[in-house]
Amino acid sequence: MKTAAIAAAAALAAAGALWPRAVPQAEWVPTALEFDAKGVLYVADARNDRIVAIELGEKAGKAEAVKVEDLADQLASALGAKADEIQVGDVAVSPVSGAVVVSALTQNGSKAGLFRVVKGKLQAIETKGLKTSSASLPKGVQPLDLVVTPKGLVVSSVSRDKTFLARLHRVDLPVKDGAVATAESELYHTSHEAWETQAPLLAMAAYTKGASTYVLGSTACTPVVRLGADEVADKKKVKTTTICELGMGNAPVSLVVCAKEKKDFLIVSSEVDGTFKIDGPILSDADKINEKAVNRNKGEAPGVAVVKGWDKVRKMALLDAKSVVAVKAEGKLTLETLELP
Amino acid sequence: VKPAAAACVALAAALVAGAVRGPGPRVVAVHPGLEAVPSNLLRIYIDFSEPMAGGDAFRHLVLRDAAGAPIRDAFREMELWSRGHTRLMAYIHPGRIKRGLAFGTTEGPVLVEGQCFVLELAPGMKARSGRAIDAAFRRELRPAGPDLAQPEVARWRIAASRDGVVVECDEWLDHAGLEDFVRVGGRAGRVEGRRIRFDGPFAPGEHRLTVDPRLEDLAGNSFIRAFETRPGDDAPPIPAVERVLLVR
Repeated sequence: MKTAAIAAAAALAAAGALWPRAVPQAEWVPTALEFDAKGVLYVADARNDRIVAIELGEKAGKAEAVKVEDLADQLASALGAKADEIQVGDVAVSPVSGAVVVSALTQNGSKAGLFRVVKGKLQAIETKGLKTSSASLPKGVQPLDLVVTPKGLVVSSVSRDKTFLARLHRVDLPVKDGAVATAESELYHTSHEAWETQAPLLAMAAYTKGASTYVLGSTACTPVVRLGADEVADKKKVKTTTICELGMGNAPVSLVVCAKEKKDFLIVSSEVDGTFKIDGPILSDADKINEKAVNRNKGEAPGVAVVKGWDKVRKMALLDAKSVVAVKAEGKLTLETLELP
Repeated sequence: VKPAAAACVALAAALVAGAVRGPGPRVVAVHPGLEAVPSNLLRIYIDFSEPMAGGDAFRHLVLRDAAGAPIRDAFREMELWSRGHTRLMAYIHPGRIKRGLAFGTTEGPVLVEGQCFVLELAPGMKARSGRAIDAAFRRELRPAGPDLAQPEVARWRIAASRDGVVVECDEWLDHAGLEDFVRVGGRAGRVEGRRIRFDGPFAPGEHRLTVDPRLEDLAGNSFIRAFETRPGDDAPPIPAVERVLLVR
């Protein structure tokens, strides 16, 4: 009888092992992050193709250096996943509280969340109870990155199907459904000297020079481009200006505009040649553009330098006037504070 | 518990597990549904029988050359799913299609005219149900020459009757685009390869065939512009492409 009971239990266990486990789907998948000056967090939701605004309601504070050596392990533990399944969507720093916020997801989007870094530990941000609002993007587009400008958010997107077009959206503030304008973007591709309408901006940063605010962006095809933030309007074709060519294969991951000793510059992390520092004059130059843009494919590229020691940097955000907080992928994912180059 | 009862429990458990596992997810269609694709084919759609989990597509999707070797960097590896996660859109790497790009110059094109390639989806790709595809899917591709021309609706053949309208395009066009971008009298049709069938009844008289100019062919050439643009190309916006058809 005992043998029979063991056999039955074993049979049930075997049947249980055969039972497929459904892959859960996260209700939302936060990817790109950006704070505005008031501390409102804007989040690109790649599950629902929308932009979500969250008022975190944090007290004023000062940003402090962070170091999380076991970033993937902590995120995996919080999400109930394996460390090698973890992807970091983005990192952002609140200009009001100094809080460092990280978005994370598993590769299949089954689990995702927002986290705040507190003394080296990640704390999940529960959005229930917080004031939130959202704006849906047009049907069939998936958001890639977003920036805050004085005239609202600028969001880049890629088509989920049917058309091969690069689009930019302006989302009016405060964020609400229906307040989204959609434009096509066009850029000059230095590699084959042609204008493209099909290369989406994978990463962007806002840049203010004098009275003008620009959006700087980069595509997988590696030109860095500039466009006026005001130019993104409904049904408009935005002709961007190519200011630099990073060189073949340097797919950008993150762009951050910084200033040191009163000199502006742009940092672009990428996956092949590492992280680049692009000098300020290039960002606003009106002459060396498009065909004449600084081009690493042609050898010498004055004003563009590879930042030593930053070759594994992925997502970045400006922490304070002297440093950025960066996700690094040196074998394992870490979060570190790096002094501006 | 008697041995007979234990055996019954085991059998029942196995049957239930088997029933839940069911036929499992599978590929139900690949678009375009033809072997003779243009060598500058831009996009492939793979339709699945149930919503897929995602995140593992490019670990399973591979293009093999004539020798059976997987082609590195064949796809722009960005998973793009329909909202219901039943259709995956995979781009052949645009950097290796568009002429003159450094990536294509060093790596060469993915598809070459006159050679044979195999699109393969290896088993193991997971569905949201937790079940995985259990058999490999393969489709041969035999590229012809590149398609550099924009589509032209004037070349489409139209058979219109009160029972229905059949539009036959002169070339294969983007499958999802045909589903969403072509209408007769505001109605959507059923896409069957190069044909779109619009069920009747249609009243006698004139009806409008309207095409959203964003519709692309298999190589990404739309009514607005060709995929390969030249310096100075500046396509004017086109609101819609129309043809009037007569039902007698």
